[in-house]
Amino acid sequence: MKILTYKLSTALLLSILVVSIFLLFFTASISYKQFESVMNSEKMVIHSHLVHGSLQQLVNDLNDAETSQRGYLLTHDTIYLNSYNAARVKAEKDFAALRLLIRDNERQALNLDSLYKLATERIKALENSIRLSTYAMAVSDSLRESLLNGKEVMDKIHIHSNAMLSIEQDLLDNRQSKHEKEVRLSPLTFLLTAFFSLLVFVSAFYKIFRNLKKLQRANNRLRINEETFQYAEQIAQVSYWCWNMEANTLSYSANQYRLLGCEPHAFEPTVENFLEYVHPDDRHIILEGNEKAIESKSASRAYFRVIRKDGELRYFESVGKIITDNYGKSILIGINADITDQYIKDKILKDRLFDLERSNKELSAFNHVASHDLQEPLRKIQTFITRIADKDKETLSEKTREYFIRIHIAANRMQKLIDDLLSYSRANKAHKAFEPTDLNIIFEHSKQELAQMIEDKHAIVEASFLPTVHVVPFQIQQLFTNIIGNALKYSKTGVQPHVSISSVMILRKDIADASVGLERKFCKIIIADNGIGFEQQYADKIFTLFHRLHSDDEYSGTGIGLTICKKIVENHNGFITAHGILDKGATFNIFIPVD
Amino acid sequence: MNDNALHILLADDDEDDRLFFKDALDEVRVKTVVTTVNDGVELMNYLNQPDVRLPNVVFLDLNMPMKGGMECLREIRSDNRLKGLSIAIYSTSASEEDIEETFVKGANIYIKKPNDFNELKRVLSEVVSINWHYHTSGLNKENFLLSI
Repeated sequence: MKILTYKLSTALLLSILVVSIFLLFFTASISYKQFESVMNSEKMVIHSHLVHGSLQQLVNDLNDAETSQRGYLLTHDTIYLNSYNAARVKAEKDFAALRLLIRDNERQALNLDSLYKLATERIKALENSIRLSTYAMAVSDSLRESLLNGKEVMDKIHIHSNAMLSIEQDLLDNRQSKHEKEVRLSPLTFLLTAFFSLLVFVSAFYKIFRNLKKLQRANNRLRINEETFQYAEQIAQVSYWCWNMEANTLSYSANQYRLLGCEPHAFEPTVENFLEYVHPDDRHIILEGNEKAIESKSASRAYFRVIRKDGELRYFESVGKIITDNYGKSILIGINADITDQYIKDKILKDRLFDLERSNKELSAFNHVASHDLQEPLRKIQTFITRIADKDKETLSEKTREYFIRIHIAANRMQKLIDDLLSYSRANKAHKAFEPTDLNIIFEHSKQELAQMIEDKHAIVEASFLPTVHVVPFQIQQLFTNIIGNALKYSKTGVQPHVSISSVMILRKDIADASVGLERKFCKIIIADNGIGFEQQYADKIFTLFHRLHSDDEYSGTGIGLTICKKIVENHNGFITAHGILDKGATFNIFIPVD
Repeated sequence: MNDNALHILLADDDEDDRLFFKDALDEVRVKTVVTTVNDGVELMNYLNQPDVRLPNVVFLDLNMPMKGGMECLREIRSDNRLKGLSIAIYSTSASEEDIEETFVKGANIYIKKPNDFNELKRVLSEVVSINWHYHTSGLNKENFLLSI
């Protein structure tokens, strides 16, 4: 929207410029016209004066001619006759000059013609008088008449020339007044034009000034944004480039050079120069990406390696996008990111994952060995022992029979170890089918599994009402069986074993020794017995693989059972704790998340 | 050949196991004729002889070289002449996967090799006393794994 405002103000400024130029021309043309009018008026005045002067001159010359004629008439001296002739020629000249002056004025020309006729008449009269006087020495009647006639004509000439002068005077007055009017109007026009121009200029200046302020503010923001962006680029290890696809010009941000290990603007931003820094095997990625961008007018994501100026290998990710600028041109903008750190981390993670998968595979191969290949010879040993003990019972010495029994026990123990290890590895497997499970039913199943042992020990195994939770049923059954089985195994001699199971819903914040995790609500299952218990300091150790608190002579076992329990609870994102009091009993708390 | 005797065929690559098997069957009360083969290929060759008398029960080990028990089971069940045979799986492993798979493929019973000779005698005596016809028709997963 801001951009649009600036576009509009550009149009406004342009129109102001046009108006200003027009005003200047207008003012100039008015001034020119004024000046021309003054010049014209002045010319007219001069013209009128010239006409005036010429007429006066004509009349004077005619008078001169008359005076010379009179002189001649009186003296008959030829000197007067000469001056008369000179005056006559002069009068002719005066006419010619006048005719030239008033050739544009028809009325005056006509007047001049009449005047000329009168003058000719007058000259004729004068010459007639001269002629008459030449023949008669005295003043004859005809001479008198001729003189009188000449005087009359001369009077007419005076009247006529005066009329012409007055016309000329009127003309002059007319022009003078018109000129005065024009000259009087000019200052007002000037003032108005000047005032209007001033208004236009001031408003234009104000507009320009305001735009300039806006521009300054925008510039300031731009500068801050630019600084922020540059800083962000450096922090995030990214840079941008800008490719004007039509003009085929490329520009880089300063950080683009830094990412390549160069000083900002160290080289001309061209594809060729950039390729210098790209790993030779990856250059085609850039070239193909560019071609694709030109063809499809779209850009995608590319990954390539860069060899920095200092020779360090870095991994880059480039993402591009086509935008249209203010002039409607297509521009491909792109962000380059140095993803080396992330790449290395990913690679380490992948390697670890690979190692993990491999060791898992090895583990499952080991399981296979344990379950099949180890069991097979063992089973045969056991079978042979039973076969010998059975078949050759009579022929064996008592000592040998005892040894055979010991071998049998050892083999059976090995069998148990293998079985337990297998169930531990099965508990490890990711095969987890969680389903809503009624723990009361699970408890009953466990009790059935242990029925023989419960009967042998005359034990009481009871549970309060247990909830239904989302678990892997067979694992929880194994958990119950192991813990109840343990409670029965480590019962106190001479005391009826009593195992009780109860449960309670509990929030994480109410659990003192909760380990890390996100679950908030737990189902706490408490399995308590009145057996031999253990010292609290061993509470954590009993969950360790193969760790036992008792020798095999006292209680047989493999040290795997509780480790399996811990594993199962962890499979359910829960945890298990043990609390023991020596000679009083043990309590196991199992926490299974329920939210 | 004793026509009254129960004909039993064992396919097992382990010599000791074949010995235990024969010794144990010798000591059970039911009269049996035992034939043994060393692997799956031998088993199929034996069964595919044109004039062979088909055994009453085939005991099939799962882990054998050349051709395993699982493959033999599949071949027998897809062969019109052989598919009526009673088949007892006789394996060291008792993994859920093996039990499930052999059940689905149509084995009649699953025996985990015992580690006590007396136990072996008891199991084999039980198996050979089964009325096989009845057992086949009442096929279900509950009594598939012979509890020992």
